[in-house]
Amino acid sequence: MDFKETTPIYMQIAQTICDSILQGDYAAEGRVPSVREYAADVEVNVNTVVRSYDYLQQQQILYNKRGLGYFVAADARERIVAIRKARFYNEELPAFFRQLKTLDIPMNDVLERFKEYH
Amino acid sequence: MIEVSHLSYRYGRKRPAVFENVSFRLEPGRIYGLLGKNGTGKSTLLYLLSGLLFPQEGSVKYHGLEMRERRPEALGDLYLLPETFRLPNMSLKNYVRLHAPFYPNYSEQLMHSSLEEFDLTPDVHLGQLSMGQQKKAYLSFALATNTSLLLMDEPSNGLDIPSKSQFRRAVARAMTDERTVVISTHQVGDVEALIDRVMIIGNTRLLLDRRAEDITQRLAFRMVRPDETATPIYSQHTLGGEAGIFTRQAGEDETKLNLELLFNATLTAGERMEQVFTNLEK
Amino acid sequence: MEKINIRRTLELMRYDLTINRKRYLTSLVLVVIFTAGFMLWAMRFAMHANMEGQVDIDSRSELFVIMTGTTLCYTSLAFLLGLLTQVHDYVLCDKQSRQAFFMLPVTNAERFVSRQLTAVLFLLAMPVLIALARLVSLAFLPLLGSVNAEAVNGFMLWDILTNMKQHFLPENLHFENSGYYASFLFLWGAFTLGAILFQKRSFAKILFCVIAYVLIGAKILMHSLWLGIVPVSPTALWWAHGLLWLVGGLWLGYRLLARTQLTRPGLLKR
Repeated sequence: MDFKETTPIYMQIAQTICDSILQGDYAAEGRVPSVREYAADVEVNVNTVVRSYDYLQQQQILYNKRGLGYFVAADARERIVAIRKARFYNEELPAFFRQLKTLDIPMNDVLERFKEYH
Repeated sequence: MIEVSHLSYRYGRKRPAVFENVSFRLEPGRIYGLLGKNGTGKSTLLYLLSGLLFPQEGSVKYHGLEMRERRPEALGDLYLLPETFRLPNMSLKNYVRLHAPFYPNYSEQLMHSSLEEFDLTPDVHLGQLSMGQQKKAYLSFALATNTSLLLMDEPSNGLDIPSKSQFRRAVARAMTDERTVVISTHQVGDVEALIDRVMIIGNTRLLLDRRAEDITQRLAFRMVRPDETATPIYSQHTLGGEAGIFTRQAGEDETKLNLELLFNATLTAGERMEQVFTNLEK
Repeated sequence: MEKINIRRTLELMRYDLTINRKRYLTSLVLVVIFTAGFMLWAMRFAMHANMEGQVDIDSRSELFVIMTGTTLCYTSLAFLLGLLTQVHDYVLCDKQSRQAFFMLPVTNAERFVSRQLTAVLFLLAMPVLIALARLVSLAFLPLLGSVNAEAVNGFMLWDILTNMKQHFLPENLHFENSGYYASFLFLWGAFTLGAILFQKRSFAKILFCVIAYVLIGAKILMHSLWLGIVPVSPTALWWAHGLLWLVGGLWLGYRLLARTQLTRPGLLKR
């Protein structure tokens, strides 16, 4: 795995796992690889993966069954979408609007292009 | 567990000291990255840890046993992979037959999985392998000895890029909660993601000995913005602009640890760095 | 003195013999060739090839007597053997070898004992080597022309083998015969010393050579000096001080190995 420069690795791993869940690589209530397996696969320290899994647990995307491992929550998909939507509305959209304003692009033009995209 | 207390060492009465009053512990289940400029004593420290050199002052203890006594119980539970080595001209199987009996925890299974990771078969002949492949075979054996302490001096040197990847995976797979691995290296990029403890030596001292987690909690590694208000603890020119280390503010997102920056900063702005840690500990 | 675990010592010997297999074999072959050559030379040219003579213990010329014939032959063999095997040298000759050797999880005592056991193996192989050399020399004998009959007789195969067996029989203890094995072990000890103290190979050879001959000479002198003074039989005296030299040499070698293998960082530096 190639790691970007700014985001901490554990966050990047968490994002990747979320991507995998959205893509259907990990089924709801399905098991995700053990911390060690995952660490070995992406060549990082086990601690880092532990942090990622802990973070996802806090977000209730994964849950831990003692002795059995980590599993994908039943509503993981919905939660991930909700989190990403929230980030989009709170961060990316305002940044986009700022761009529109700076570059003086009317919203209509944007809507036109959006229709073509669809 | 290894305990180093008040270690001082020099190579001869007239030579400059390599270490003065250095103390630290190595915990099980951790991968330590040992960084330092050339000639600051990285290899020397590994020799001191493995009982090949004796400190003039202080002690190196392995589970309470003094390493200077060089007991086989201790020696058989640690392994040193030196930077340069020469493997005898024999098959790998024979090599294992000769050496494995000295290591009571040797694991055939670990040997196989490491070899597999490195794309080598158990029936290779050491004399017929390229330098890189020899290193990989030797690495496999070192991992397979299953010792509590594994010391590696520049292990990724001489490995091509795909092999560095294999190296990381092999080490990650061989890691357990009881093993301690110390990787001494210049190639920070090779091990950045693998280590969870950073040790930086220089000027006869241990300049930094911190968990990677702690570092990224207290420090932010990012580019210096043109409109930056905060003063970086340290900054340097890079291709993409000015890279800097800042005290991480409450609520600020954590950034990825940049070992190269950290290393340079420790060497040039060591006191300021240390202050950040001690201030927050109060 | 540290513990000695038999299993580990044997493993170490196996390690030593396997890793240095080619060197040992080469030296064995060279020893045979050298001995054969020596025999041929002695048969053709040696004036006083004193193979089995009774030594005049009180005579001052005993030094010369000792240095002739088979003593010279055997001593030179040991010299050459040590030289060619260069096993001690090999282990200490460069950083990588030293690191590998000293990293092995064995005690110093085990390290030392295994090396000496290897030396003993060589000692026991000597009769075979000499017999082989004898065969080789016999093969080339017709090429020599005139030969010293005494020498030829002296080098008769069965004589040499008999000599070997009789070396340690109490009634046959005089310098020339019984001194061989002790001399060899001595030389080996001196070689160990030289290799440890002087890591450059050329130095070790010279030092070892000097020490070896000095020690042998000293041993002989000492024996003859003691004889008049101490009221014991020559046999007992020989055994006593021979053993003393032997044990003393080995102990000294052990202490030196223990002390210098690690406290001298130079061992790792180069």
